[in-house]
Amino acid sequence: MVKINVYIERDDETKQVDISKKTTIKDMLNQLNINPVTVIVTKNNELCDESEEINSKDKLKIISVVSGG
Amino acid sequence: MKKIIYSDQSGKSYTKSEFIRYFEAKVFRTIRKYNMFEKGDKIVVAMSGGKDSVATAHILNQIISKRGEQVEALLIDEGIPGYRDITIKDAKKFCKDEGIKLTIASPKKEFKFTLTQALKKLPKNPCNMCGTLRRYLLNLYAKKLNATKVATGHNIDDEAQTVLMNQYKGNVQLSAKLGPVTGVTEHKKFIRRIKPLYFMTEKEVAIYTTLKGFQVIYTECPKARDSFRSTVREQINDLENSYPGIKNGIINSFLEMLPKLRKELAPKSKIRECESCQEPSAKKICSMCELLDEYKKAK
Repeated sequence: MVKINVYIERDDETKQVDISKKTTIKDMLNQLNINPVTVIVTKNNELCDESEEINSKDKLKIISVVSGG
Repeated sequence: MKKIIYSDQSGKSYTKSEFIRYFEAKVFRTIRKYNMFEKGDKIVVAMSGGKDSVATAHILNQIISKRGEQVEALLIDEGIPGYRDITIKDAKKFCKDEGIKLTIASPKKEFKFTLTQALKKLPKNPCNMCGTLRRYLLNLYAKKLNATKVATGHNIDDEAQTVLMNQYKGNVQLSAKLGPVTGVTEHKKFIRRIKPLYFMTEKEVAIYTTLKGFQVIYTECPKARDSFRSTVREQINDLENSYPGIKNGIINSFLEMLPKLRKELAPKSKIRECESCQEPSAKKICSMCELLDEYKKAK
């Protein structure tokens, strides 16, 4: 297990999550208690699917898709 | 290896180019299915500078420009500091890049007050007051621009939320005014509204605008964070996560009921002209004139 930083754009906040070899974006969102329906995630500045695995060197950003009134 | 950027609720995966094709094809199908506009229609897009209006304007402009015509954009600056000023900047950049003429209207220019100023004087729900101002100015200025259709960026999330909100509050007659194409045809002063993104999810729209590289902020209005809509939105999104397909279920069943709703309930709110401003209204005095009156009387 290693810790990785994840930037949450909506709150302008960086949080840490534990990841192992097979941790996916979806697992990471679950750890952070974020509903995948409400966000898109970029890994190293590229949009990625929730099934994608992450490693300790990845730069992750979570962007909320909720907008409007 | 193909890089997958999105998997839908059925498990189908998309690369970047596949997703853009899927998104645009689905929007084109919606436009055709509901006969949203025809040759000769002048389309004005209700522009906020957010992802939904930007995606709507981009796709419509692609279609319309093939005919040698162009869409125009109309932005209502209701006056929410720290939010609308950012989206206006994005809207200006987007319209400049796409060659779309942008008109900005505001309650400040029209009535000499902003939404924020009005809320200080009147203890009202901000979303309701904002809706009154925006709807009124949108129709008024769309007419000034000689629009025959106003395109809005409403997506399946917006519509599903509104359907359930009306249901929860027992205002089902209001749902008779919803749907992919709205507005009465018989009143010359009311410009019909079309919603090309009707079947796209909020997430899909965000993916599309990100892939297209449009500069938009992904944030909700600060005045709406604690609104009833925001509670319903969270509820639907939680359900969608546990039981994928919920949003489609809400909208598809709503669309099956819509003809009956319109037949049974819409005539009760027949559109006439406001006795004060002569703009279209379901009441003797329209909501905008009522608001103006309350504002004048408030200390």
